[in-house]
Amino acid sequence: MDAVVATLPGTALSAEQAHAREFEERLADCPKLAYRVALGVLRNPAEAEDVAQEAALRAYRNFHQLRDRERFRGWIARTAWRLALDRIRAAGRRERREVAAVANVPEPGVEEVAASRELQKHVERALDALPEKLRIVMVLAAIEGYDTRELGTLLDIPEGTVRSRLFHARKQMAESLKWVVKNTPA
Amino acid sequence: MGCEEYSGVMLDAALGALPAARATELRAHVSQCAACASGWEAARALVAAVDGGVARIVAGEPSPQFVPRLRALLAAEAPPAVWSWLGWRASLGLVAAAAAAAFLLLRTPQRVTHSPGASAPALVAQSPDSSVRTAPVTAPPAIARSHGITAPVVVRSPFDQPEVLVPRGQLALALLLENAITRRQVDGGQLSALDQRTAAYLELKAIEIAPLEVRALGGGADTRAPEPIEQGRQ
Repeated sequence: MDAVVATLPGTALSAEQAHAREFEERLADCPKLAYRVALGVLRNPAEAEDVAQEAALRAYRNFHQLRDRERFRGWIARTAWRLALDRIRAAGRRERREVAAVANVPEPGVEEVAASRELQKHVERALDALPEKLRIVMVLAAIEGYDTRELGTLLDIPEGTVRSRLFHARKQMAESLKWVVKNTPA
Repeated sequence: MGCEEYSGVMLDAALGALPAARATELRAHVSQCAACASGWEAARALVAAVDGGVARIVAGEPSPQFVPRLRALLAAEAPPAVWSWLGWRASLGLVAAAAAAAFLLLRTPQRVTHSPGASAPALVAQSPDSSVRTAPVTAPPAIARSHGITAPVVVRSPFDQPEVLVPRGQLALALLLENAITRRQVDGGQLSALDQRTAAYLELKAIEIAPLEVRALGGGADTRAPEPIEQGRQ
């Protein structure tokens, strides 16, 4: 049937072909997003790739259930987030992840204090200590190119809620890192 | 505001959460107070450490093999059976409907049928509690007649809702009647009595027509010639 339809002129497509094509278009830049979201939880590139792949496969299998296709990016990001959390919880890999994180810290950035590996470890611990709702906002906000409006769309929450959660997440992390960074105000 | 108060809001200011007016005030103070300037720089460094640290966590790129491997996995994946899934769902719906119908048939002790001798189809009002049944209510014959009830259709709704016999095409009317009776807005007996009164007003009676007296033509007949037409003119 599909072969017959494919030979017809014009844009006639079978339901499955149209489904696959739309999925392909929607997926375009999502694997990278899923990878980074997973990396924000797992801190291990290999595991993050596994999770991102699994998220994409699940999205493919269940794409027909997604009524609002505009929410595809948020859907795949949340799927990756949940899968990464499940992986952490199931395997109890917190210690292994911390070791891997130290090994994968990139070269120091602009800020001198944040460049130190010791401080990076503290940042990661502070991030892990955040409640899940605050943590996912913090991770997604850190992924380049997402403002609060886009985060609201991704997470399916109002923009004001995103701003509020982001503020509380950053403040909570800053409070817990005060003792690390010298000359911090009381 | 003094230095202590400024110090208390420096972190909020560094996070960009201070109202614009107060933020301006703080910056003006910091430009004049060396101690607060130091604290302000520390607060900004702290926030930068937080933001930069989290950004570094998610800054990694997937390996070059990642996307080709994902595409290969997706290509190997069987296409999602959109239609077969719908078919499966439809099948499930049919099975559920059949099970519900069987359940109702088994649970309903009294099945209402339309007997040829009945003047109108019966409507059985049934309370939600299946153990409590009200007496059958007969739909007014006038309604039955006016809607040309000939071959009733058994309509069964699930969950012990009233069971109604309706003619084809008259489902809405039957549902309205059933609703009115169920809500006790209308009493079946009253309807029936009203119908009888209405029927009495409309009772057909034979009209007696007196036979016309026609005089026989021929013998004894009026032999006068008809008056000429001109006679009537002036």
